[in-house]
Parts: sequence; C-alpha cells; structure tokens
Amino acid sequence: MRTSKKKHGQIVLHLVFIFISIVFIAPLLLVISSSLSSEDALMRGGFTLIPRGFTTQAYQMIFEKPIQIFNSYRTTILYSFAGTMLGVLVMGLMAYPLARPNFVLRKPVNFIVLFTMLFSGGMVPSYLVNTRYLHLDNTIWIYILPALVVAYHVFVLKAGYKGVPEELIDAAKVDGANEFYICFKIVMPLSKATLATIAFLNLVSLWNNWMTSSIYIQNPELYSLQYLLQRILKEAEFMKQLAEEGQLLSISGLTPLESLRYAMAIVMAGPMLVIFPFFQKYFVKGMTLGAVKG
Amino acid sequence: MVVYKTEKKRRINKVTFRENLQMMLMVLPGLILLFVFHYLPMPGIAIAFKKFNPYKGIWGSEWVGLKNFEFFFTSQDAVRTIRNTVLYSVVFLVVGLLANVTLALMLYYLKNRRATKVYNTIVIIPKFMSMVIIAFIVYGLLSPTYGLCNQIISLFGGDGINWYMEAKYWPVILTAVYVWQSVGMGSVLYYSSLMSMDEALIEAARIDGASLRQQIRYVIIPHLVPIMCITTILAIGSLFNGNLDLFYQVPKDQGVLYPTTDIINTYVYRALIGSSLEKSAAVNLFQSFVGMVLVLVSNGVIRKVSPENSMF
Repeated sequence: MRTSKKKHGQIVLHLVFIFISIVFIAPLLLVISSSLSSEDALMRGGFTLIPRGFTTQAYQMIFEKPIQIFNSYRTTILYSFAGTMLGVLVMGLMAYPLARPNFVLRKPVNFIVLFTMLFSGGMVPSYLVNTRYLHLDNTIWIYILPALVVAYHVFVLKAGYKGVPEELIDAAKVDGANEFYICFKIVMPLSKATLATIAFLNLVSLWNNWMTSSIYIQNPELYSLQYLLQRILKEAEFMKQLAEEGQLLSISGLTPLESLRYAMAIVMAGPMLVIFPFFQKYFVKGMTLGAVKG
Repeated sequence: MVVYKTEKKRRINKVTFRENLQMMLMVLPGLILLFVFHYLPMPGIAIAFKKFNPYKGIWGSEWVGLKNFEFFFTSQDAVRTIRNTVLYSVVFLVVGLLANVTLALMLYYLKNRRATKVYNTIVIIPKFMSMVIIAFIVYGLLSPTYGLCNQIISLFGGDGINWYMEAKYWPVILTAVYVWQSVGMGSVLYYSSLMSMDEALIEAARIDGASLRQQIRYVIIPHLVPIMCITTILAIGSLFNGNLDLFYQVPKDQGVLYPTTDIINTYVYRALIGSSLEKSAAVNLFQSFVGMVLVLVSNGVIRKVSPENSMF
C-alpha cells in the first residue's frame, strides 16, 4: 500500500517535470520551426512548433551574402575571447596579493576594489570619459577594457586563492620562490576551477553584450552579434536594409521577413546555445560561490 | 610548541620590501583599469548639476543646481519608474523564492537521479540565453499576427490580444519571463542544501507518522529558512536596481507599455541614447546613491544575522 502510493507520487512528479520541460523547450522549438517555415505558411498560420511548408530558403538567403553577420561574428569572437583571457589574467594577478597576509597595502587596495561595487559615477560620466578623453568609441577596445576588472570576480578569486594551503606557499618561499612564481606556478594551478568559473562568467557576459554597441559603436563592422539581433527584432526597416544589402530582394519576389528574422536568430545565437550548456558546471559553481568577502 | 608556531609565523609573514614590490606590480594593472574606468568618471557626476553643452564640455557648461533632479521628480516619470522598479524587485523576490524552493523540493523528492540530472539541465538552459534571444522567443509567443498565444486564443474562439499595445498584461509577462529564466539556477542553492541535509531527520519524522506535507512544513522548510533569509536580505541591496536587459529588450521598448515596463534603469539608458545626458546622469546619480545606502543597510543586517555571508 505504502510503496504503491510512493510510486504514484513519483509518477505524478515525473509528469509535472515533463510538463515543465515542455514549457522550457517548446519556445526554442518555436524559434527553430519559424526559421524553417515558408513565409506563406507563416502569413496564414503564424508561428508553430513544427515547421509548416518546410523550406531552408531563409538560411540560403543568409548564407548568400552574410557580410554583416560575418563581421559581427568576427567582432564578437575577437572581443569575447580577448576580453576573457585578459580579464582572467588581470583579475587573477590582482586577487593574489589581496589573499596574502604579507601584502601591506592589502586593506586600501581591497577598499578601492570594493568601493566600485558600492558606488559608480554612472553611465553618462563613463560615456563622456570613454568618448571625449579616451576616444574608445568605434574601436573594439570599448568592449574589452572597461569590463576587464569586475570587483565581484576579484573577490571570488581571492576567496578561491585562500583555499590554497598556506604550507605550500611557505615551502616555496623557503625554497626561494618569488611572489610571481608562487602565483603562477602554485596558487593559480591549484585554483583552476575558480579561474575557469570566472573565465566562463566573463565570456557569457561579453558574448551577450548588446549595450556597448548601442552606445559607442556607429561603424556596422564593429556591431556585436546581440546588438545586431536586437535591431533585427525591433526595426523592420533595418531588417529590410540588411536583406537588400545581401541583394535578397532580387532573388525572390517576396522577402521572407519573419522566417528570415528567426533564421538570423538561429545563425547568430545557435552555436553558443549549443556550446554553453557543456560548461554548465562552471556556471552553477559561479552562481553558488557564496560567502565571498570583500 | 606555541612558541615555535608564532616564531614560524613571524618568519613567514615577515614583511619584506621585495615581496611587496612584486605584489604591488601584480595589482597595478587592475588598479589602473579601475582608476580609469571607475574613478576617473566619478567627477563627471557634476554633469547632473549642469546644463550640458557638448561644445563647452562638462567643465565649461553652466551650473543649474538641482534643476535636473527637479525636472525628474516633478514629472510623471519619477513616480512611474521608481514604483515599477521597487514593485518588480519585490514581486521577483517573492515569486522567485517560491519558485526556486518548490523546484528544489521537487528535484529532491524525485528518486531517479538520472532523471533529476536531465530535468535540471533543461531548466537551466534559459540562463545561458541572452535577453535578446529571449525577446525573440517572447515575440514568437506574443506577436499579434503570428504569435502562438493568439493562435491558441482564437482556437478557443476568443479574439487575439495586441500584447505589445496593452500595458496591463506586462507585469505578468515580465514576471513569467523572469521566473522562466532564473528558476533553474535559482533552485541550485536550495537543492544542494537539501542534498546535504541529514536524511535521518526526514526518516525520523516519517516513522513518527508525519505526512509528506508535515515533513515539508516542519523539517525541510526550517532547514531552508536561513538561506531564504540571506537571499532576501541581499535582495534588499538591489531593490532599486532593475534588470535593464529584461525590461528594455523583452517589451521591445514600446512607448505604450511604459506605464508597466519602464524602470529607472531603462529610463537612464533611454535618456543617454536620446542624448539627454544631464537628465540621465541626474537620475542615475539618484539611483546609485539610494542603491549604495540599501547595500550598506542590507550588509549591516547580514553582518548581524550571519557574519559569514556578509559582503564586507
């Protein structure tokens, strides 16, 4: 009696989870299916979970002349990876002295980092400094430099470094190792998991950045993928213009705007959506890194 | 032994000039970047008290005192954005907490470990998506002519709703999107806490004849209360800071929807894009200031309740 009741409970639970899974996956199917439907079918029946009037026309159009998408891919890949690597290097170095008791300026430096978390000048003063004094607008550096040091990440790294046994560092010191050697050869290799977590968090936030382009970039070659996508979604005119640039209008009488829109979304966001879940464990770790002290 | 320990410590912690010089070099690149991108802009706050003239620059522009703040606080926008920001924060906190704990409980009670892993992976997927992609998905559901929702409504004989023109639906839509995106990751903390709980507790309750509901009510929930408290107190710190990505991208920046979708962050961003720099700066400064006070308060409370979770 008891076991059958238990089994019932498990079945109900599974059913609820299957329902939840559908709620989480169906919207993705909607996007994929819309990109593979013919414009005609979309006009008549709207977006559906299963492609109607199956066609790859929209994708063919994109790959016919993918200049803008190609440029945005190049820009996004370049700044995302450069930004991630530089960021991990700079923050990885910066966190080390903060975790060492023999660094005399530990407290003031700690405060300088912490204060950026508490208060910031805001977007406009940053905008003025970046454009008027540093002239970073319309360069790829605007994506990379301002985001290199994230205070919270520095503290996460510091907490990670503190987990390295003191004895190891002492032993290295006795053997005459200098601080750089200890940092690069002992502390960093032992904090690989924390460094990987930070690298991944950095990569995701750089890859998903749309705002920087909208504020600082006028040159279409330097648009980030997400910015391009948001314009495609919001501005029908921009979509048309992109389609015309690719001479798409001449290929067919009717430009498949809606399916093209979704095909572009797939082409621009799809690869990362497939790749990111493989790094899930780092993401989960990053979210649960609790008890981080400044 | 004690003497040996302190002596050893003294030797190792001996502050040497060389070591400190090396470590100073290590923090230097980070410090320079923080200085340039966080501290250098700070004096620019002055623009919030000026009438900005692009040709004269920040320092050449004329002072107007608190006029920019006055402009904001006497407008409809102030009430609307502040109310929306705070209300959404509170609703997201409460609904998020409920959803996260419920999901964690369900995962905990699921006996098949492999299935647990699969479901867990599925619900985390949206966390990797950018808000722009989520906006595409929402458009796929809500587009008045093509959207799936209107198809379903008309299937049941109703009239399609022009979602992007009707502000009243958006509190529900935005909350749903928020939960959909964050619940997978949000439940991780609770789930791992449940996994580390002593199972003998529940076993004992069951032997004493506690029903499932009683187990949850008297054993499991009390176990989770500390984490729930900390999450809540931490959320106070960001009460005044909304998610720009969610509120700007998902409603597609439609003016008609502002009554229920405009928050301080979107207002500041729009003013910046629309070149009302001084207006944007003033509102942003107000937000930063209140935000700082809230963070200090929440951190102060945390330090009393649970020092190991305090930020500083």
